[in-house]
Amino acid sequence: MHNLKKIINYQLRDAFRSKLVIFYFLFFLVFTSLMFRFIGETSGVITNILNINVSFVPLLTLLYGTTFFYNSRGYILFMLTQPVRRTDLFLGIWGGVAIPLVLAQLVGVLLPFIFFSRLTGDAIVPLISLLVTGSFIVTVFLALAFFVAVWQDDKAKGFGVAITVWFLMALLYDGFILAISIFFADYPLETPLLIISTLNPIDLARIFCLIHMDASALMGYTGAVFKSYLQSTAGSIVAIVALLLWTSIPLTLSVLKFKKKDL
Amino acid sequence: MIRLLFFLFLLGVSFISTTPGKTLVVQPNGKFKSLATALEAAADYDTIIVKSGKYKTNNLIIEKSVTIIGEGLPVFDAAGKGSVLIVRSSFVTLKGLKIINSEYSFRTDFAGVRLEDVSNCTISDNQFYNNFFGLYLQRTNDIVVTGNNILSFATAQASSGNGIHLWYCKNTIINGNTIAGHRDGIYLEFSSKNDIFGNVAKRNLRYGLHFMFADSSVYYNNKFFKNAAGVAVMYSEFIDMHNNLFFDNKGTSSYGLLLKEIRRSVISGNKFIENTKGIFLEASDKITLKNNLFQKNGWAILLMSNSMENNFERNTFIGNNFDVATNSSQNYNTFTMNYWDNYEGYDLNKDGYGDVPFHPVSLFSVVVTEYKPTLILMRGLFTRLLDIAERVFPSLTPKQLIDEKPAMKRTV
Repeated sequence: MHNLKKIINYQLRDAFRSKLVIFYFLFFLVFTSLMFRFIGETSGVITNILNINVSFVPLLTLLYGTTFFYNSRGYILFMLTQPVRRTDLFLGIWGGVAIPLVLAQLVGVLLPFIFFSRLTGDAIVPLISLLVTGSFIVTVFLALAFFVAVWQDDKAKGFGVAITVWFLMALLYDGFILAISIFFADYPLETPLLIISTLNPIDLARIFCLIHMDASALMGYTGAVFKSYLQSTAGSIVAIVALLLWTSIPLTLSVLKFKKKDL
Repeated sequence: MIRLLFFLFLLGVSFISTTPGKTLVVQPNGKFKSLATALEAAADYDTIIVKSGKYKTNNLIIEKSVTIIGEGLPVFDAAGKGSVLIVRSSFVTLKGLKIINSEYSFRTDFAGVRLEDVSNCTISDNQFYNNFFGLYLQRTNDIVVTGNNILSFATAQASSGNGIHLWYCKNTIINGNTIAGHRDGIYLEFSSKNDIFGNVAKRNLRYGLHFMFADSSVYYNNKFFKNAAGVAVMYSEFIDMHNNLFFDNKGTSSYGLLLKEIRRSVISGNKFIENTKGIFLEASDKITLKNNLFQKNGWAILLMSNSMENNFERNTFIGNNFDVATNSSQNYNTFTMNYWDNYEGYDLNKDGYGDVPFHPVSLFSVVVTEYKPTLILMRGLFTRLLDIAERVFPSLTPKQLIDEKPAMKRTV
């Protein structure tokens, strides 16, 4: 445990100097500020950041995560000559990437909100759900990136797999849902679709946010069904737990593999 | 000379007939202890002043043309038995009364005040509280209903009545009333040429305002919010609806404005904000919709395929989940010079209108209209890409449903 902290500590020092984290922070800062300037309305701004969160962020974290792990190969080999548990080392590296990215995103989004909006009661809940799901998107896809990188030693293949993962989750999965709803149009699909959607972190994050943004209240029966599931406390807990599982399961599998891996 | 005499005679007659009658005062410890006794003593065109107090009144029939004015808001309480007041004489005025607790019934339409086969009555500045029907007008002409506050606590549609109910009524003016907690706020059936303005209908179980077979009516400057289903206009012609606010009518089958079999009507200058469906048009033809604002609705306009020759002009669409949805691949309506916040075109000749037509029906809205559960894909990357692809090569969305001249700036 002590070693884990140490590793994260060193990683953080390294990461906060990295150009990508700074770029990531500035991107959210500028983007959110611009949105406030052009749209002005809090819910519109949140919608646009959500769009970024479900498309650009997964891709970026996947690619950054895999690159980072491949580039840390030398560092990993060196560290393993020291009396350090492999689990600590792996989680340390992962945390050292995840924490700065999450922080960069949180602060980058939050600062413009504090400056430009009054943060009234109506805006608080959507904002919190946006920040929480956004953070989870980062951790989930970093975990997946590390998972890919541990299992696939070939850098080029790794990138290929990472992009495929993004493509599957961000695009194809929705196509799959669309196909299901068209094939089984005669059946009441609200609940099954909700369950299928929670199996994909991107969809889950998106729906969770939308439901807390009042947009779904406007969508009649179907919206009401989704809302009644996910807006309840139990629904929120289920969603958060699902996102936690999406982070922890790939991480655990990667750790297991990393422990036995012949480096 | 004869003409002059005749004129003087007429003048004399009119003077006699408009001479105000006597004034009777009803008060709990006065000469007249109830409205009924005062009515017996009264003649046509007398004035009855009712001092403040509580008067138990069941089915009291007013058969004389009297003016009844409440001072200090006297309470007429039916205590759950029948109606409170029944007006069966023309030229009756009811003002400043509090009318409460008429009976709830499945068989008879009990009401706070019923007007039956009369004309030229005025119902103003009264409070209606916890009645089955608030004000019930049946076969009337030239009635004025103004400044009343009508509040009830309906819980189910089947067991509740309407705030102001018109049945075979002509030339009614309904102005400045507030109606809450009834089934329909204002309900018109077989009633034409009515003016409805400046009213507020909120938290009603069904519609804020409901027209059935009510031709040539006008309603404007009304506010309808938090009703289960906004306003419904059905089976009518020549309706003029302008400058109303439709706000926050949300629910499973909820509309800001529901149009069913409406023809030759004008809908202008209204604001539709945060409704599940802004306007729902079914089998409605030749309607002009202009200068309306649609903001933050689930669906701004839901246009059923049996609606034709409607003209959408200079409306503003901002922040709606779907601007226009339709269940048809054809289109026989025109859209022109509207402002769409989703429009991404340009205006090279600077005439204020975009050079590229706008397709207000997105592919996703077509899909959702057909397969409702796909709503779960809303605002996803996939649906956005599909929409963009569809905009470039339209295939599923109605090709003719376009705005040839989309405005570059808000019209409202």
